[in-house]
Amino acid sequence: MGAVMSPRAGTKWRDLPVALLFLAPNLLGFLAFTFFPLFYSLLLAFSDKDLRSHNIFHSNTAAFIGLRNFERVMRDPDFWRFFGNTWFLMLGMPVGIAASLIAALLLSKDLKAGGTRVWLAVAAGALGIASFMILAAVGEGASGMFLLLITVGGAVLVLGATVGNSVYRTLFYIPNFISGVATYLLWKKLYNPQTGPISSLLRPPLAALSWAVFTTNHPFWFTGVGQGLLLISAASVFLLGVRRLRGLLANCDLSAPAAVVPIFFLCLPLVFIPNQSLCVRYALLVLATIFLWVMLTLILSRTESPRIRRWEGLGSAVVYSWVFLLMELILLGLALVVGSLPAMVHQNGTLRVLEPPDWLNSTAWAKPSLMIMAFWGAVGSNTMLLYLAALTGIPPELYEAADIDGAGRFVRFWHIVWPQLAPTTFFVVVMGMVTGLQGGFEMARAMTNGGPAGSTTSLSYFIYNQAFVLGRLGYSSAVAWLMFLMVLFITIVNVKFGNKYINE
Amino acid sequence: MFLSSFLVLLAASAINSFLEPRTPTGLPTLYWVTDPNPARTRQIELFQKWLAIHHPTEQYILKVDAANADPTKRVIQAVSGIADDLIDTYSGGELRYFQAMGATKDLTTDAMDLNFGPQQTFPATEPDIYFSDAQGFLRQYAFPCNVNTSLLFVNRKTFQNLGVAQPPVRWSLEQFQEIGSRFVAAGNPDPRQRTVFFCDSFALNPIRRSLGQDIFNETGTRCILDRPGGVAVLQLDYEWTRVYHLIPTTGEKNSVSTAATYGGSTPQLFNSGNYGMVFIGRYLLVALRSFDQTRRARGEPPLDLGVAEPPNGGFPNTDCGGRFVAVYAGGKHQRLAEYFLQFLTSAEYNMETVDDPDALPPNPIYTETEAFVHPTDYPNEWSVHRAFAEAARNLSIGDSYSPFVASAAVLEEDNDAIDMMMNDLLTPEQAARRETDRINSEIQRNLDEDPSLRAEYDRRIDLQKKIDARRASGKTIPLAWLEDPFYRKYYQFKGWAQ
Repeated sequence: MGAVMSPRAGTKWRDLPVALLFLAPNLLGFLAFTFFPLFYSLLLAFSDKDLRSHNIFHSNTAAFIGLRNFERVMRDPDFWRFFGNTWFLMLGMPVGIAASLIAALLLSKDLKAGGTRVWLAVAAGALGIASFMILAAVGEGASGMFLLLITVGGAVLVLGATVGNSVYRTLFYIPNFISGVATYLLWKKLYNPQTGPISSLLRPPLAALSWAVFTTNHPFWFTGVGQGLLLISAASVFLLGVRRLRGLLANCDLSAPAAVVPIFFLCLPLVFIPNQSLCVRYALLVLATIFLWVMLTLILSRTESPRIRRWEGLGSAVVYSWVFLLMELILLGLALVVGSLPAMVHQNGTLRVLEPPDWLNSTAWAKPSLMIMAFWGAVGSNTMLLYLAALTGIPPELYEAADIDGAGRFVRFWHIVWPQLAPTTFFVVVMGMVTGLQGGFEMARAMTNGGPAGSTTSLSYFIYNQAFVLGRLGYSSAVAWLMFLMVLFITIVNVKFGNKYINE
Repeated sequence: MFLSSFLVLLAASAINSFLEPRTPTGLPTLYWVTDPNPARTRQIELFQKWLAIHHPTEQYILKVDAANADPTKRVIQAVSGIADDLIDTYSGGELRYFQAMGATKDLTTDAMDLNFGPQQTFPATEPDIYFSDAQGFLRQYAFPCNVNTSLLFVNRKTFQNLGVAQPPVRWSLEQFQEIGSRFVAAGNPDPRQRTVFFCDSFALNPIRRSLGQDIFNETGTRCILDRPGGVAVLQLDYEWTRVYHLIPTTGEKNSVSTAATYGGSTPQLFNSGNYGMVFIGRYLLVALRSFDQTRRARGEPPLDLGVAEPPNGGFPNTDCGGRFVAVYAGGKHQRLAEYFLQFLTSAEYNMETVDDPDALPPNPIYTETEAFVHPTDYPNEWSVHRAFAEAARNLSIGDSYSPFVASAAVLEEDNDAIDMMMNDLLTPEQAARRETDRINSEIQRNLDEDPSLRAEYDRRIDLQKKIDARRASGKTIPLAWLEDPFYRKYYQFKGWAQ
């Protein structure tokens, strides 16, 4: 005897054609505008399709050329250069995420104040505005601009103190209402090397620093101490990182094979050793990684438990190593700058005042300029909203338990808030990497046209140029699909190891 | 439920279609993709009147399409079969790109029939509208809406205020540097904050050519920017920008970047005395006239204008360009579209361009009219108009192109090389060598990817060998061997051509 279909199941089947009919417009649209172009671009990637010779006006059709496009991409130095640009532009992503988190943490607190504090803040703001007006009147506009910006900051604090969090949340989120191109044009003005507020803000302290370095009787001793302290700090950060990894290994929170990756990142600053060839630098990096790995896994840690998984703890170890790497790079960069200061301010015995960089027109500063702009946008972005929402979802009992145990603010954050935010962080990191690898087009098109000298050309802008300016549809499709594979690989790695990190 | 929703949507679509505006007279409508210049409206009015007189049986409505003026849009629409009937292009390189796609109609025969051939316009525009097709025959693919040649506008008052002698009309590179150094020294008492510059930009191509140097060799088969002339011009660009500060850097230029007026910030800075000279086409007058109106309202005299040629290293010349209109090869009304090109040679259109100082009229005979040379309302411009017309006739040379590399790629490499040099990443020699190598690699790559170019390339290589051999032995070169406009003029100038 066959199964009897229940009336409910029968209704479902009857409704199916109607449901499909309702979905049809969307499905057809998806097929026509998403699936088909995707499939077509995959075919193009294996062809020699060129806009100039394969179109409705020519009878010859594009030919299948196998993997030739991909081979050419691999051999194209421009592709690697722009690939490097894309990754460089993504370096600011962790900083942006951290800033969003900090903003969310601050905005989740009730910062409304009353009484004396408010009036003190109002008085400080009024004093700032009056000082700016006086300075502007006597012709010290640049210094006045500096003060004005501080005063604006103070005024915002006052407003927030009197009205409450809603002011800050609105102010933080306002950049999201501005369209991309408008933002880029705005920042182009901000980055104006002569009249932009950023350069105006930097001029007085740079002038003061130049004067201080120039007039000191022992400039090299002065900067040598500063440089030495910074180098020691960088080394300390490195050792802290090693210590943290050692702790993870000792507690079986990190497996030996997995330890290679974070150790590699910790040693990465060796690549920037000056006055050495590229081969020597990379050789040092590899040797240092191997040496440290041997030391940590075989000599300084206890024997690994056989039950530990091969890539145990990779996710969290990589996060730690990136944080330490970033701090090392910042400190080393500062050390380099401090060490060069005497040479920079002395010009044939006379003072050469340090000037703000040329921002978007300098090959060295164009990318960092875009990263700073991206950081500004990231602070009050949807990431901040996601974190705000996630913070409200943390059970208050956990905080109460921490209070009972006498945990301080940092311990509370590290052991309660940060783990609870892990799913949100995972989502934000994955989405950030996916959009970061595909991004950079709008910025390049609106602000820099990919220059100067290709320094702000990302892979997406490169694809656009190859496809529509030079007509190489086949080649640009190959680049696009390679980019897709990269994004897919990174997403898989993130999902594989990130999930474990969340679950841990 | 689905059926009712579907019927509602169907009814709405039908009503929408019914309410769509239709051509009242049922005439065909052609579209002209061009820039959003208000003058286009007037030009179309004139055209409709002209058409009614000259082709009364072939009436149509012409509409401007400024929304699709973006270069990428035009390309995509062209290869998709939906481009506008008339397509504006802004350089010979862009037109060649469209021609390579097959998107522009070969106008050679119809141009003879309707009399809008190259003989109706300035000879210097020939390389931009008239070039070899895939088989190597010279064909016409466009006609200019206007012709642009660049000279140095001089703000005489700025020079007077700074106590610097007025620049001569024709001058050498050394003279330019010497006068310019005095000018910037006088205009910038505090060298840390430079706001006064001798000239707004470096006339790269004219100066390069004045040294006998061009981007490509005689046959366009190889980039030769790494020759001494190419290095020298980059060196000069660097010195005049970074050492002598005669010309603003990109950062300094962007310091006051606005797009408030036609022509951007350049007219404003010229007007205010921040630039002593600007290297630009006649269309600067569009903005200057509006500034002069303000001056008149205040009871001040108009701007005292002068003109000078770009400085030269031995061979005086300047550039030539313009806005060229082509007929879309996929259009349904190609013959009708060609009437617009015929209109561009007419008195009505040319006199309209004469009245509106937006570049030169396409037909050079109208630059000899009294209205052009001596516009009654603008006596301060009289010396300017004649100078531009003479420069377009005698001094200007069209751009050089190679059929084996896209001009956009060449321009990008040139800009990259200059950026790297200005950022002190490369010396001028390294920059010249880099861009030469990259352009030549691009040529080889195009030859690999498109074997149909190989036959023409080999033919030109053989010709180049003959030219090189004759040059090496001191013999003259038959002019028929030289297709490139620069080499044709330069060889005649030097007496190297038969």
